[in-house]
Amino acid sequence: MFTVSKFAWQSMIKQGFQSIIFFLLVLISSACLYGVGFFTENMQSGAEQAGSYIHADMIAVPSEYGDSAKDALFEGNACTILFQENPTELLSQIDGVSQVSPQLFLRTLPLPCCAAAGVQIIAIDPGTDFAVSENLKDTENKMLSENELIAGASCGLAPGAQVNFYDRNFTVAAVLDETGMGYDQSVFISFEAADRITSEEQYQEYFGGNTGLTSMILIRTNGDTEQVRKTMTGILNEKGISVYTIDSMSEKLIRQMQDFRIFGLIINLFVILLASVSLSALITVSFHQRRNRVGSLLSVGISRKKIIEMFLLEYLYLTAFGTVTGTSLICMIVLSLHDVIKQSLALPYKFIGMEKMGGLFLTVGGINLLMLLLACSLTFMKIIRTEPAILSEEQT
Amino acid sequence: MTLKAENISKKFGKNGLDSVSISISEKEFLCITGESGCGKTTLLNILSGMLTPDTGTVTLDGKNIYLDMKEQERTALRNQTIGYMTQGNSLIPELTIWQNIVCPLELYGRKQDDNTVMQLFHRLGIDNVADSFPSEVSGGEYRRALLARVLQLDAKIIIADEPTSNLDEKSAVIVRQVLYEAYQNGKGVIVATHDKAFSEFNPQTLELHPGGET
Repeated sequence: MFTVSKFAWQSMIKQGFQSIIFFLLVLISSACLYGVGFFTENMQSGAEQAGSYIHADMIAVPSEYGDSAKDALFEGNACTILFQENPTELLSQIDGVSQVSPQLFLRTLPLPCCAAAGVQIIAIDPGTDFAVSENLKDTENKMLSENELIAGASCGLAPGAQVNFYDRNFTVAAVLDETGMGYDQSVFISFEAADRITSEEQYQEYFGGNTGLTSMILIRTNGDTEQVRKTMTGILNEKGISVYTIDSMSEKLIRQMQDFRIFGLIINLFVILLASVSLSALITVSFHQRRNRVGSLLSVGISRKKIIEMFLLEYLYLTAFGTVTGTSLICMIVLSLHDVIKQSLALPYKFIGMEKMGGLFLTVGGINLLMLLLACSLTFMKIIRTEPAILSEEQT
Repeated sequence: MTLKAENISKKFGKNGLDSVSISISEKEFLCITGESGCGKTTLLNILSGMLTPDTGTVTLDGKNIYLDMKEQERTALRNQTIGYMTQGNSLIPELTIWQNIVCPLELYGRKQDDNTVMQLFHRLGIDNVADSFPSEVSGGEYRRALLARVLQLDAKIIIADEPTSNLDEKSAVIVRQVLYEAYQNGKGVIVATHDKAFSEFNPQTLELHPGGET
């Protein structure tokens, strides 16, 4: 039995070159739409969730290192922040503070086994830590021993792996969930291990042989965070310590990401416009080449509705193949290069998850469908309005 | 069933049809002759519902096909009642000859019996090209395939535009004979032609002249 779908399929195959051009156009526009959407969504997701993965309300850092701390925390940038005096005890005694957890950012080192751009080595106090332990997939291993470390999600390390730095072997005790922020490219060791490293003579150049060093202190409050921040600022300003709320730090990032989204939207609108015009031109040319076929079909009683169905189905097949291929290609590329992209961007970047990826695919499919209908509309109007004899070019 | 055109006028370029009237019923054979450009194809287009006349009426059993029927009904007419074999290369190049012949009916869910279609192919001498594409067959086979497409519709009135043009004598004989058989089987047949050999069937004749004189 010969059906409209079989007609459309056969027509698509026999059209050859035009079908390939149509397919490529849809593929390219789908890849652009999906790629830009995927990147901006991942960055937005990273920025929106970055604050929540720190599990703190505020951080305290030496006043001159405010920006460095933000870059290190959210973007994984290398930094050297050190308090002159460790203020952990002082902070814990301020009204409204419920928990404090110090961290020491030792260095960013390349690890031959794993991450491309090197990893930030951060010391934590397993006894007071809440930032790292709450991001653990498996909370059983959170009490770090001196020869253990916890690896960020993008370090390419698996539990049980051996890593060597500062001439010491560490065993990966656990791996963090993906956070989309600097923690993904970090490894966490205990302060006990850090003190042994910083006190060694060979690292005198970097740490001055000191122990008990601290880079930043994460703070949890049990009251109005902004009020506690004001109180703390009053007390700590003289000591050269600044306190920032996590919300204020991540808000700036979110605004930055929104700018990226607007930029992405402009690119996508341009792609949609260009693809719509190109598809429309291609369909118009294709129709002009085949207009006598439309007349011929009308001459044997095939209705305009069926003819439009045939054209539409033929282009729908191509649009579907183009959309699936374009988005699949982008998926394969960005997923396989996820960690490389994350490290290259130096911005919060977190995988949005399969469900949102599916949603994005449906959005791109919907946009392509709308573009197709828009591009076809002129041709379909001609099919509807032109007399069959004019279409069949049988006029004398 | 009677297809009647009364006082049809249609301008096309410098030429035109002027007040042409004809009528065809089942079991009638009508030849329309005339020089090239005199409006034979235009008249057939108008009779088959493919082209609206400037003035005049076309009725099928008293119903005006342009005023009393919607576009959709006129299209359906060409699938069921009026079989129109056009002059040009109007087979669909993406489909095989077989698919071209069965698609007008099968697209509407009317499955064709393969044996019946094959008999028609055999009668027209094109059974060897059933699976070929239109670009792969000779001019004679192409015209015969066009005729097969119209005959397959089993319409009561068959309209054929230059069915034997550019055909070798062997193919032309087959085409003339098949059209005559359709007439003998009770169909109304209108042929626009320069082919004098149709006169052997003693058809009614309408001669058109450039400028619209008949």
